[in-house]
Amino acid sequence: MFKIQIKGFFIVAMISMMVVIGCSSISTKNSNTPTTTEASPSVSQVKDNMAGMNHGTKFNINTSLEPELDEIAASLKIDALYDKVKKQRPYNNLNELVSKQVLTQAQFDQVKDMLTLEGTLTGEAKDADYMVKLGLMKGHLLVAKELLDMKRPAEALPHIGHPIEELYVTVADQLPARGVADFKATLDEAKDFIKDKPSDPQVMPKFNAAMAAVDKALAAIPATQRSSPTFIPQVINGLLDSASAEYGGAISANKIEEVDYQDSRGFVAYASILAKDIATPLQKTNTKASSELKAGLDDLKKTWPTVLPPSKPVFTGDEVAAKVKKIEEITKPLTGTATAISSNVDTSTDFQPGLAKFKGVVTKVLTSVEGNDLQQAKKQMGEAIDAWGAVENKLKANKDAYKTLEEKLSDVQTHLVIPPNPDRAKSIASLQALIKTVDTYANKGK
Amino acid sequence: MLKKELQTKIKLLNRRHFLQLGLAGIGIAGAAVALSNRPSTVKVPPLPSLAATFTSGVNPITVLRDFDYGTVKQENGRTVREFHFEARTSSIQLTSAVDFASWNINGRVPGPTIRATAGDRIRVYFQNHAGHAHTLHFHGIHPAGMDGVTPILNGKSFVYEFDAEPFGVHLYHCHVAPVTRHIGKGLYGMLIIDPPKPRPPADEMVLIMGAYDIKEEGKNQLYAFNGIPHYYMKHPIPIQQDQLIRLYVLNVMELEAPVTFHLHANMFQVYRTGRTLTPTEETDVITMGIAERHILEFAYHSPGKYMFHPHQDALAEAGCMGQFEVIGNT
Repeated sequence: MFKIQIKGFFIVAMISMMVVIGCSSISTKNSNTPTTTEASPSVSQVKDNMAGMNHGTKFNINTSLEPELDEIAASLKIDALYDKVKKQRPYNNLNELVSKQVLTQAQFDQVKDMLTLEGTLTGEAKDADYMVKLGLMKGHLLVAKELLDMKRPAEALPHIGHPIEELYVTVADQLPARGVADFKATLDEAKDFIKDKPSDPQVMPKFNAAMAAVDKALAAIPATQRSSPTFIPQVINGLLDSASAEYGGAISANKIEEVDYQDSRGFVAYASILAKDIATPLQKTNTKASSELKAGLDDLKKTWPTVLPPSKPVFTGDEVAAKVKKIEEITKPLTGTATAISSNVDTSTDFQPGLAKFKGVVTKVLTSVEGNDLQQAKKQMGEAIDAWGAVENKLKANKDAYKTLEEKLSDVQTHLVIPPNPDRAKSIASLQALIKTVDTYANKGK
Repeated sequence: MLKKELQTKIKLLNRRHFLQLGLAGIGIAGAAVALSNRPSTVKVPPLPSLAATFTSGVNPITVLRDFDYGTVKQENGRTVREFHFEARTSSIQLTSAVDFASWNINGRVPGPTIRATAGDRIRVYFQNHAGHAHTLHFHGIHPAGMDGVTPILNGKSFVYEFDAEPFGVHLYHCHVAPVTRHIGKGLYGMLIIDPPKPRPPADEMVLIMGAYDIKEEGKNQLYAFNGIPHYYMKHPIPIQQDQLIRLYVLNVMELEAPVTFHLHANMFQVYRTGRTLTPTEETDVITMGIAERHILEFAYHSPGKYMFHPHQDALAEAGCMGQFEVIGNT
């Protein structure tokens, strides 16, 4: 899948980064003036190669090795960037590069789209990611088994389908290195029988073979790791994140979507099994966390009283998301290394990066107004509203911040955007007030 | 109270939407120039101010003319358009009786209409927060690595980047199996690639025919233009008498035989897949299988309401029907 051909990719990445950083970046939102300029052939060819081959991967700030980060260092002209980054590991979110003073905000903005906490994973992070993916498969199969035992093969079918369609290809390239034989054919056979010969006596043996294959792949992670109270919580979190997202998507006013309800049931079931596996060692190292984790999962499991969905949801999507968040607050401190393996941390309730971006655009507007370029300012307000939109949902977690900022933004609208001939003084005042309000929330944490 | 009105409007994510509301009555003189690339020779009657039907703050009336040109950057003399797409789940109220758990891009069904000029570089930052694995598979010409058939798991992201080729009207959709379900749940949108020399000025609109298998029984119960059943019947689309109208029409109805788009009381010129600059036929019915899409052009010369719908009348009556309201020039 995302095989990294290191040498070629970095050269390409470096060239493209220097192109991006070297050129002025003009943000003109609503232009569609027909373009007839030609790209220099070599760069566009290089970019085509990049697009065809490896584009889409990012540098992992927790695990990237020196040569990888040095490409970014060269383009940003920072000495010994790798050492600086390494010193401040682990990072729980990308913005820590700024808050830990490894990069300035401007430097961060230039390269942040090339950075991630996942992707080119190595070491423990990669193992956790692998185990989450297999754990999701296992969760699917646990539910499939429940349905097959109830003689409901048609309903079991999607749960053998999802491991094949959504998950297998994402671990396939790791299997040889981990000494696991390809097992897609085993999964396919189980699916073929469940789909087209559901009453055949071969169904259960084929299904059991599929389950055994997944178990074997899971066993590629050494037993010591699989009973580690610092490693397993990472996997539990990955499973719970997916459970929460799928369950949320299953609920509408009219009904509970059976397939997604069952998927999430399976993920939580396997997460509970994992929690049991580490219960004893965890109790020794952190008794409080151990009992809180058990209590949290027992409470969460009430969401899925039966394998067939209840007529009314026991908990809403938001309630389940809140429960998962609470459990993760218990497990994250246990891990001791980078967290948010399978979830892109940019999507948490951390509004700092988005707010910083918003502030940047609003500051540009202020500069334009001060320079008497009111038409430019109006145009830039459009970008500001887009930047607001991008951070709005995350801000909502902090009602105070959201309400106050929205009011200040509204004032700017009143003075600057609506009137055909805006009042310069009032526009400046409202913009300054908005920026001041942004600053009060900018460093107040999540 | 003006301030409260503004606060509501700020809730709208989309700046283009905000500027469009400006057309409807706030009277921003500058907005007409700033709004999209529609020349001032094109007359568009004021739009009704309607409540949002999607979490993104848009409704089907705003979706009609909402073309997303992305954030434009110049990289080595080349125009690059960047988009940020997030796959999410949210409920949509399809009818007063039916609330539907959708999978969507940026909180709306259909997803944003990407628009670029042939030869531009398109770059889509795709984040998946919708539970299942998803992808963005684009129609058009691009390398295999950008074909969007490799699942992106929940919580992960991917950057799709390719040249906008060839000019015409295309689409994008999730390509994780069962694709029927992933499209049916709402993960689709239109991709318009303009020819190097723009088409003549017109009032341009997007119409995407979709269907909903509410009961997950392999059969659709509700149908819609641009996401909400019956919406354009309840809220006719105002267009100007004698104004050239350009429709970008796409069919994404899963689980159905091809449908035959029909316009009342008029004939339209057809530009198949938008791949020609001169029309290839003129008709008032055109049959489209799933993923087929065309540009249709027409003008109405007398005021009044005119329906449009697939001529598979049961589907039309189950929600895929709308009206243009032609506003007189007097």
